Parts: sequence; C-alpha cells; structure tokens
Amino acid sequence: MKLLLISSQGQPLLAVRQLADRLRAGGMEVAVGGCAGADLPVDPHSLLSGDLARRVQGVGLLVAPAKVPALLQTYRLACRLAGVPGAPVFSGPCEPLSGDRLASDLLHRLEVDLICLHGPGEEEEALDLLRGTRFAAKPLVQLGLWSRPAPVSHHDRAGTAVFLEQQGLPDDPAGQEPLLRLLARLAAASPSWKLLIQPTPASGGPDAGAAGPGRGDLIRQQPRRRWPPNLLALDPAEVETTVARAEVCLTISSPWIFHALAQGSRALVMGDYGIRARANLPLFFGSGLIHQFSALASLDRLPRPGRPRRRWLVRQGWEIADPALPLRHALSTLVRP
Amino acid sequence: MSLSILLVADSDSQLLYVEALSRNWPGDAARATINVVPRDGTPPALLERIRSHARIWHQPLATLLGDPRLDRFDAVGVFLAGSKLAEFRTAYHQRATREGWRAAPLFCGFNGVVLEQFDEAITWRLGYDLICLNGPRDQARMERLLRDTPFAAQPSVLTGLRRQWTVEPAGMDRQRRLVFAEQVAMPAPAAERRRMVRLLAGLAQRCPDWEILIRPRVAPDEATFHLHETHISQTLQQELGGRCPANLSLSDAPLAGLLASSLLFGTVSSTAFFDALDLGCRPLVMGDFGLANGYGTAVFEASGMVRSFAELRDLDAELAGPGPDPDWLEWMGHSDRFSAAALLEALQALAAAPRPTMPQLRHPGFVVNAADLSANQLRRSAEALIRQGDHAGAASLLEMAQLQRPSHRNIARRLAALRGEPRFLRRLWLLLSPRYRG
Repeated sequence: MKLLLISSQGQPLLAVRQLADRLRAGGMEVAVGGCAGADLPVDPHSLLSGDLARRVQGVGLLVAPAKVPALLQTYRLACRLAGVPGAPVFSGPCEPLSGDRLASDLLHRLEVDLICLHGPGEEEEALDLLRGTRFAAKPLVQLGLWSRPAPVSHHDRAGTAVFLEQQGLPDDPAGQEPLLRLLARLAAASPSWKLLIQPTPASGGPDAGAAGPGRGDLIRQQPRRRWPPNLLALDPAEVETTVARAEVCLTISSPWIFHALAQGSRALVMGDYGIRARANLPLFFGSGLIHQFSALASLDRLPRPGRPRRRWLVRQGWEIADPALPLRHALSTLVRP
Repeated sequence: MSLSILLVADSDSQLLYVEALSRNWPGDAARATINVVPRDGTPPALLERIRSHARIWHQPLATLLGDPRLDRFDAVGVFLAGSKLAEFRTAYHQRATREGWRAAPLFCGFNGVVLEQFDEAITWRLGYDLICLNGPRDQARMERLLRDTPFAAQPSVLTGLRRQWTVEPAGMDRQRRLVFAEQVAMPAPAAERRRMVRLLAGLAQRCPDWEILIRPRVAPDEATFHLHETHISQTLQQELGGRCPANLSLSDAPLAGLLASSLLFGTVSSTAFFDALDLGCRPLVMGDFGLANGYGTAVFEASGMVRSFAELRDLDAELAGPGPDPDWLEWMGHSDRFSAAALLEALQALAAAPRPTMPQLRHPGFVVNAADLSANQLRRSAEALIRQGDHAGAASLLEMAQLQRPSHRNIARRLAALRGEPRFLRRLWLLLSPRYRG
C-alpha cells in the first residue's frame, strides 16, 4: 500500500517522519511531502492537486488542524476535475492530546474519510465529541504512539537530565526567567549532573508562534558566568539525539516525553503551574508523572520511579506496536464515492 | 428533615445558578441562605428575586469564613472561581478543626453548560464532599479524567440543566419574536461580533413579520465576570447606524420573561438554550461561525438545532419542525431524571453519616489544583513556614508561586529575601520585604 503523508515544518514533520518510519517497517511505501525537509519538499496544495496524490492508496493530512479543510478541499477538487475518486484521506493530531486540546484539534478534521488517533483514551473522547452529530459514524482508527524506537542502552546516560522546552509555555512571557532560575538552581545543586535545555519545535497548536525567547536564548543572551557550568542550552535540531542520551527527561507537557519514555528514559512532568487545559496537562493527569519541580532540592533527589502508570500508558496507545496494520485495514475498508 | 443550606456565590452567573438551585428544591426540603459576595454591578433585579425566597447575606469571603453562624448550616454550597473554591474549602475545614465543630458537607458545581476547561475545573473541585454535575456528559468526562487515579472515588451528583421548573410558560399567546441572547465572549473578536449583528439584521430583513430582539448579556453599566470592551448596543449602532431594520431591537428586560413570551430563541452557545426549552420557547443555535470556533457551538451540534442564520428565511417552519434531539438533551442533563432533589438526597445522607476523614489530595505523581496550590495559598503557607524558621521550605513554595505569577513583585521580593546570604542579612531582608497577609 502506498501512502502520501502531508506535513508541515517543525514538530509535525519530526512526528510524521517517525510515523512514516514505522509504517515503512510495517511494509507500506510512504512518502512525506508538503514542506521543506520532507521527502517531497513541494507546496502541499501543489502536491495534492498533482498526479502523484491520485495514485496512492491513502493521503494523510498530518498538519496543524486549521490547515486541514483547505488542503482537503484542494485534493477533492483536483480529483473531481480529473474524474477519479481519489484515495481515502486520513488525518489526526500529531501528538497525544486530551480534553479541550483534543476537541479543538479534531473539530477541524471532521470532513476527512478517516480520523487517526493514538490510543483508546483519545478514541473514547472522540466518540463522546461526535455522539449524536452527523459525524457520529466517522471511521476512527488507533495508530498508537508514533514514536516507538527501541530502548537505547543506559550506560552512557547516567547524570544527564534534559528539560524539554516548549515554545509558548509558560504562556506568560514574564514566566521564562523564573523557570530558567529554577532550572539553574537545580543544576547548581546537582554538580554531578548535566542539565540540558532542549528546545522542541512548535507543534502548530496554541503554542505555535508564541512570543518571547526560550530559556536557551536567555542563557545565550546573558553573561555565561551567571549560569552554572552544567546548565547547557541546545539546538532544536538535536532533540532526537538528546533524548536518546537522557537518564531523565523533564517537561511541562512536551510530546517528546513519549519519545523519551520509548527510549527508556525516566520522565517527570512539571505540575507547578497546576492542571491547565491550554498546556495539555489534563493529558498527563493520570500518568503518575506530575511533580512540583520547585519542591526538588536537587536532581539527586528526583522522585522515583519516573515511570508512568501502565493503564495510563495503554490509554495513550502504548500497546499498539505496529500502526501499519490498523491503518491498512481501515483504509482498505473505506470506499470513496 | 429540612436542611439549612448556605450557598456562596460571587459573579452574577453564579448567582443565577444558586437562585435556580434554591428555587427548585422540593417543598420545604431545604431553607436557603445565599451569601452574595459584594461586588459592583450585581443586577438589583436578581437580588430582589433571591430575596423573595431566601435569606441574603452580603459578606466578603474572609468575613464569611469568620462568621459565628457558619457552624449552624447542614450543608454549604460554594460557587466561586477555581482558586477561591479551593481556598474556601481549606479555610472552612481549618476553622472547624480549630474550633472543634463538625464541618458540614461542602458541595460545589458549575454555572451551566461547561463549554471548555472542564478537566481543569474538576481539579479545582476535588476534595469537596459532592460535585454537582449537569448530566451524563459531564459525568463521563469526570470519570475519564479521574479513572485509575487516587481521586477516582470523588463523589458527584447529577443536578441537571433544568432551571425554570416553577416558572409557568405564558401559553400560546406569545409574540412572533426571536430573542437572541448575546454572550459577552462568544464571539469575542470585534469583527465577529459585528458579523453577528449583521446576521441578525439580515434575518430581520428577511422575516419582516417577526421581531428580532437582542438581549444583551449585561447592561452597559453592569460588571460581569467576563470583561468586554464594546457593549453590543454600541456594536449595533456602529455596524448598522441608520440602516437598522425596524424589527431589530435591544432589550434589557429579564431574559426569563422574554423567553416566556416569545416563540423562538437564538444563541451561539448559551446555557439559556435550556432555559428557553423550560419556558416553552424553541431554541436555535447560530452555526455561522462553524464548529471549530472555540465558542462552544460544537457542544450543541447533536441537538439538531444548529442553523445558519445567514440562510434562515422561514422562522415559522422552524416552529413547525422537530425540537432538540431528546437523547442529546438527556446526555447534556436536561431531563426530569436530574434535579436539585438528587443533591438534597445526597446531602441528607451525608448529614446522617459519620463524618468522613478529609480527603488526601497530595499523592506522589499527581498534582491537583485544589491541593492548596493557588498562588495565594502558597504565599500563605510560605509565611507560616517563615514563622517556623523553615526558610528553604518557604522558598520552595514561593518559587512555585512565582512560576504562576511571574510579574508579581511582592512574591519576587519575598523570595529574594529568603535566598539572601549571609543568614543574618536574610533576617533583615525578610523584615524589609512585604509579608503576605491574605
């Protein structure tokens, strides 16, 4: 089965590449297109109105939700003009979501042929969202977590903590400095550790394009002597390799925490801001990973075990090992009029 | 047994809810005292209505929590914003423990249809003896959030969305009028509010034998929980000016009265949809802003009553057609099965039962908003630790408070004082820095 996955730059592309790799491992032929850095770095509307898009067995619109309707319209119009039914179109959130974030994401994708979700938790919420509406019978499929590489050896990870930074969080620009000072305090109190601040690309959700420098920028802009020597700011492009060498990953709510868990890292989610819908914290409420970072004396005193509760993980799609299987089955059963 | 119940409310939407709650208790099952937290702009008409069936107090929360009569109630219902809910609960229990009296069951709930931030709101309400939910939809959401967590057993009760039990509809002698209930934040952008006005004007022009009446959420001089910049009357004037159709107008008359005397109701996503049903008025939902608009229209999609107001031409046909889907109504909580009677039953059972131990809200790996984690609670706890000499503990709490309120100067000053070195100077900085006295 041949698929064309349309992505956009930043976090979606990284996530879509991970999904594409797993689909290929499941025997599918996959091309990622629609933005710079993709296999097919062509404008998505041009790609969707071209011949290639009509020759595949599935088109995935794995972009920010607000972009989906226009892309879908382009594809269907092009197919209609070409006199062909076109392939089924599927779409879904590029990262696990919950509550308001999931609802606002899915509401933009309802006109596609198949909605892709990560796990049983998202599906349960989606069914309630669509209950009784004209979309109640919309086909849904669970693909699991898109990032499921094999765990990496731990031997060179000891003493490396990674803070997965997100654009736009905290959402008050004045909150950047207090967060950085907290991280600096932890680093200073933990001389045997390295604390790496790893920016993660924008997701295209509410945090996309948010104002204010990141913690890494603040470190680079200010005198180096102000910061502990074991507090380091990294480049966004390094996120995958950085996570691979982390003993523990800390974050407010970055989806890269799932990648970290898949790599065998411990994880902590920052609960100091409280459970905020805008920050996607409700997703992590049942994880058992949320702690108050301000209560930590040092990285030597990190709460154990740093592993999520099993049932919560299953609800995120952890046990779906091969996304190709359910996707192939779902696409095969769809018939385009 | 007739229960004596204290209801505490702040904003006018919270007052509307507690008014409806207390009016709809069956018979003499309960006697209500409603504490209206003093604030500018509370509608006088609302206070008058409340006064007709309940005792009214006007006390700020701090005063109320110190009122010597607080221990005389069989139950206390608290309808405040999130952090205040948590603070009230903590302060109430601390006083009961300090003075040695049995704390009454505390309950809380929501003002109406919960369009957004439900999960967040539930985490502010955990620890209350009862959380009032509208219906099965909210029950399913809460169960999903709390499943497999230490809070899974949080008690709740379904009190429904019917608020107008005792108001008799005006019968068939109703005016050919569509009442449109403006919501301050739905939509919020000025351009979309102007569009909304144009949509209603267009409807008025296409249906000249109907009256289209806009009922503003607030009068121009009233405060409300949601602040806005331009009142709808100004938007109407600015957008239409002299071109306003003769059958389009505004009215500040009480919404219940308008609904009881009108045939149709319109809204983007107001809870008044259900009030309209109670009062025999057919509701319609303005769907012109789409579903993915953040205005809550999607919640009403399954009702079957979402319409494009730009395309509406025959309001008489809307009257003749089917009403809201009954399955959806039950799902939302608009059903005879759910009412304040369920709350009273639950409160009577709690009043008769041995007082349970205070629920533990702190569990490793879990953070709930209700666990004394608001900035003010953190500051208060920090001052207590400072008095005990635990500067490190106090600094930890203020560090968290500063994360939540990064621009708050007094938090920053107090935290800087706690971190001052050497220690003897730290005591000086603490003396000089502003102490939180809330």
